[in-house]
Amino acid sequence: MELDSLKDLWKNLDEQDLRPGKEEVPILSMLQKRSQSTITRLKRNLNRELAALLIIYTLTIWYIITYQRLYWELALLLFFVGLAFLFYYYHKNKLLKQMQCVACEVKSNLKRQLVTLEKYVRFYFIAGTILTPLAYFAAGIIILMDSPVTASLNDLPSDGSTVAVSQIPIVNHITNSRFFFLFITIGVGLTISTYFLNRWLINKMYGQHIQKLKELLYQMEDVD
Amino acid sequence: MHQHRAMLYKVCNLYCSSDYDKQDLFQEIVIQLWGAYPRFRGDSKFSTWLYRIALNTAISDLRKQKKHIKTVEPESLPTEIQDIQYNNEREERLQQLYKAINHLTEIEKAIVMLYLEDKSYEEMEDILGINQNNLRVKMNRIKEKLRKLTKSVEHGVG
Repeated sequence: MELDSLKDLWKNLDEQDLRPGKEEVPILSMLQKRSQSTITRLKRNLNRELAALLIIYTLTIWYIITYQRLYWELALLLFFVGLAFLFYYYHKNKLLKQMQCVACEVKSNLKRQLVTLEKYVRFYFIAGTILTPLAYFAAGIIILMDSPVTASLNDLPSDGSTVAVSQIPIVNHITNSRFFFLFITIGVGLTISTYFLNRWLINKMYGQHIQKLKELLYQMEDVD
Repeated sequence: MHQHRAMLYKVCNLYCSSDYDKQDLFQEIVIQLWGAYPRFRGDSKFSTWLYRIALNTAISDLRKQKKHIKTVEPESLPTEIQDIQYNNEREERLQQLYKAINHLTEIEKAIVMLYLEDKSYEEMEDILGINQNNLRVKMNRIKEKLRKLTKSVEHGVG
């Protein structure tokens, strides 16, 4: 088969020869449907994550205020968790916006997608691995600080005499409690399992896509 | 958009096998075109811009192809013997071309398509971002590959 001899045949193909399906779908009805592109789906998932977090956040606040009445601890928790999540959401959203340039040359678009997706995945991995244990330890410390032992801080001598660190009730409570060791052990276990779980999850979700983008770029650059 | 429908269908036919996937890709290209149009400043030819969006959507999106059972509508079957002969010859060559192109990589498919559309190497470079010398080398290789592929198809191999 000579490719040049097929040029006329190719150019003379009309819509009816090419149209998939029998009936023509109006453009307007296509535009009313949602895009199914990978990046649009990632954006949609990120928005879902945001919605889910807002619901969990609201419910937690309601629970803490209504049943626990921990006001300043709540303010602290809200501040840090909110700040961390805002940064997480902003950065992921920024990367997703940068990920695609459909009107650019195919090669530069592929490069852009690969570089940005790798950044996105790295951020996802680091944030996921750090944030889960961080939230666990932060919550643990707040609970620990609020334990009844803290109340006995007032029992410390107020006449200026020195007190050994181990005698301060909260420290005493931490070092002597079996709860503390259990808390640390669970925390370490959680950190390690989060690391491996994230690695597996990210590889499953994005590994193939990254590999495919690399292959496509290799095909474009390869001339030898 | 209506003027360029045929070109968009060609992209879909090259990158998808089932009618469902073709329609799906066509719809996605239309959505991407619609979204990108407000940013079109006329720095490149409209057709270049159009090809870039169509090929970027088809190549880089890496959508999963779904499996569907193909059905043939009775009305779409040819009714006259003359039609069958005319269509058969043309259809056969076209099918042969599609079969051979199917064995090419995503990037090679894009190059072949632009070549068949009679685009100059300069315009191909503008669309794909591959330099012209590189494109010429690739094009020669593709022609050779297609020649071998069609020979094996004719002899029932592959």
